[in-house]
Amino acid sequence: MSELRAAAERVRLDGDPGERWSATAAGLALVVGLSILDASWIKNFPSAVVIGPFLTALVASERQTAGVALAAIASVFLSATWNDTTIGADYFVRGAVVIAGGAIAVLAARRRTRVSQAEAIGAQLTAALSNLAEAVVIQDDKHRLLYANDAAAETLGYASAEVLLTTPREQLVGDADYFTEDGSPLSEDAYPTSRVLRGEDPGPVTIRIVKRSTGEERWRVTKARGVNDSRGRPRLVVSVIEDITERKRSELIQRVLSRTGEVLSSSVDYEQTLKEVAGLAVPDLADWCGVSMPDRQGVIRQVAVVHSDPAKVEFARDLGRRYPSRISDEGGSAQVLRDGHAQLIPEIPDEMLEQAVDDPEQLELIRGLGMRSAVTAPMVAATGPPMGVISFVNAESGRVFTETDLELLVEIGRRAGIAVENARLYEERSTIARTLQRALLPPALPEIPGYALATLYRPAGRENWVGGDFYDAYAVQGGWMVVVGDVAGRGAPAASLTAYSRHVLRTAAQLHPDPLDAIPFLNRQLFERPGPALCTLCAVFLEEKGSEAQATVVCGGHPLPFAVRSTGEPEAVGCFGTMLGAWAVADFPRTTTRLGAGELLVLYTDGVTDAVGEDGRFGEQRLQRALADAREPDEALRRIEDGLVEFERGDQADDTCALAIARLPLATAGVQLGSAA
Amino acid sequence: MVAVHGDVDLATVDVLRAQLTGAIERGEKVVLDLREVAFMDTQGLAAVIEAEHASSAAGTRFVVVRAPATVHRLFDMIGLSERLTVVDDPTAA
Repeated sequence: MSELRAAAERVRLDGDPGERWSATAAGLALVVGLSILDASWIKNFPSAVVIGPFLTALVASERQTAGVALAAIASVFLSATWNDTTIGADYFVRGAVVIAGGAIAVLAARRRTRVSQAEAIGAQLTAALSNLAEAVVIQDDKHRLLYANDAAAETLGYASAEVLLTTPREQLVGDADYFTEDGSPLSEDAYPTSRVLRGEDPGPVTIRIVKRSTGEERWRVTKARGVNDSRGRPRLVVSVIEDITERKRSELIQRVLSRTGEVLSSSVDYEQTLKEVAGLAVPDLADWCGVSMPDRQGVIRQVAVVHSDPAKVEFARDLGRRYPSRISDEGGSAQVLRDGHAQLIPEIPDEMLEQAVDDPEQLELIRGLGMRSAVTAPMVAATGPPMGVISFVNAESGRVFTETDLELLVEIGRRAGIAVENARLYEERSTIARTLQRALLPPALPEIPGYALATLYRPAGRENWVGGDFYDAYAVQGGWMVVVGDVAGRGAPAASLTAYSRHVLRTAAQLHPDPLDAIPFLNRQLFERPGPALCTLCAVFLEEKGSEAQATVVCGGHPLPFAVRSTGEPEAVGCFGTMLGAWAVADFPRTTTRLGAGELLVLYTDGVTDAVGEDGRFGEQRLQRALADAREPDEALRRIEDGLVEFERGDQADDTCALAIARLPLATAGVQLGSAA
Repeated sequence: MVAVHGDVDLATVDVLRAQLTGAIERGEKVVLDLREVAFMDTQGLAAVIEAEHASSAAGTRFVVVRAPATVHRLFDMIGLSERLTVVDDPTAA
């Protein structure tokens, strides 16, 4: 308020004092003149002097008018003296008329100066507001626009403040859709102006405005404040509007791009990933987002379609199924797929649809989507032709895409392309890996008469590269052989070495009269391979010895197997031999043990004992405890697995493999004995 | 001199392998100090064997300073200790 008062002071000084003094002099002259006239010729008409103060009040200040009024009053009394008028009723009436007239003139002068001051202040303030860079509009309590500066006109998209002020309100509000920051429509009740008029303080409000006629999207922050009348009711609303479109846009771009990066690197399942990327674009960037990729037959297949309305998504999918496009088609996605150039159509004219779509029914359906503006960006990898297109369409929101949008959308397409390429390579490799991995494991374990067999295989990692662990079981001369092994290294070299070791061992064991001689044979084979080819394994040769089995154990640099005895006590069996492939001359000592009915032998790789938990490694002692009293092979392995799952923290680091074999009681013999008895 | 601390397993073996390969390529006598090793798995053992092979092929000496008993047991287990020069004191190497 103090600024206003100071402004008023300046206005008073700014007035023209010469003009006011001349008016005062003229008023006085009139009073004196009329008094003289009254005294000399026109008797009994002294009230006419009141014209003096009135004339003065037209131009001069309140005080100057008061001076003239006093002069007029004095002249009335003086004229009575000059004219020797008796002091009667007439005399007092005249005096009252002049006094009242003078007072009215003074009040008129006062009101006039006040009004002109206010006008001057108003003019100065509006001049100041007009020069402000901030957009300011003033509305009355009926939402009528009273004032807007040029910045406001520019912000609101009008040529000048005059154009804005003369545009009818229906047109001002009616040409745009208003949304809150989270995308929901903003009702008229929730406008900052409406809230201020209800006596609320809305604070800064972020609003997204889409102009219907041009499809242009703007972001604004409106700070609205009320100006109250003497009764405290808001009569005016002053709004300062800031256009934050550029800032908002760049925020949005950064957010979408960084989320795109995250989503694309989060998964190797590219179809799912592309659906998520399409989801990121809706509704902030576009009303629709779709991803299409050509298949081997050249049909452009929809991989993802996203819209905030599920019914519309279904509609678009159906449309895609009914009218599949082919890579050889003219224009549209096919064109982008062929030449790799992004396509921006700021406004889609109906003729364009007519030209592109021959089928009248299809044309009607597409028209129904109400597409307004579209961008089709290629999904390109580092090399090669585009592997698909990502399309962005604006329809009901009325937004149109610009060159600035095009850059962002092309970048999204590029990133998606790289991610798809990586995912495809990954998938190819995974397929190879899975195929090899399957080849590493026996298709099915054989039935071994007199034994029960179970295996555990836990490859590390979700999309596991081929593990270096393997197991095998097969018939050899004089009995059976079971093997668990572990090849050093990882990835494809380890995979090929794993396959090699398993097959060499199996072939050598089946051909050789002494199956366990296959181990030194494999050692030489591995040693002679170029480059490091190291392998550890535990092989057990099982022979029938009457009712019992005899197990001959060889461990080449491998953890010793556990035998779970009939007492339920697990004990390590065998002694250490050399790691295979390390040296030409190696030592593979044999240990023979008897396996009675119900007794178990458990072979495992170091993935079991080396598993990492909070208390260090799983270790042999935990394994031994887990196996205590195990009777069935399945049970023994389940205990190992449960123990590992409970123990492990974080991702499983290494492959884990185990094989358990139990000597069965001679059930048939038992039954016969029982019936004989 | 390559001194190893902590665990040598699938996750860390590549660091060890790179250090050993580098030392052998420079033609130095390689002293692998395993006194501070807490754990070593088959992958780690394989890296030691590879280094031993590479240094004998390159004609350089390869000496291992004895690991703690729990780890050294593995060297015995795979027949490595008898084929390596194992010392208790690095200055003796």
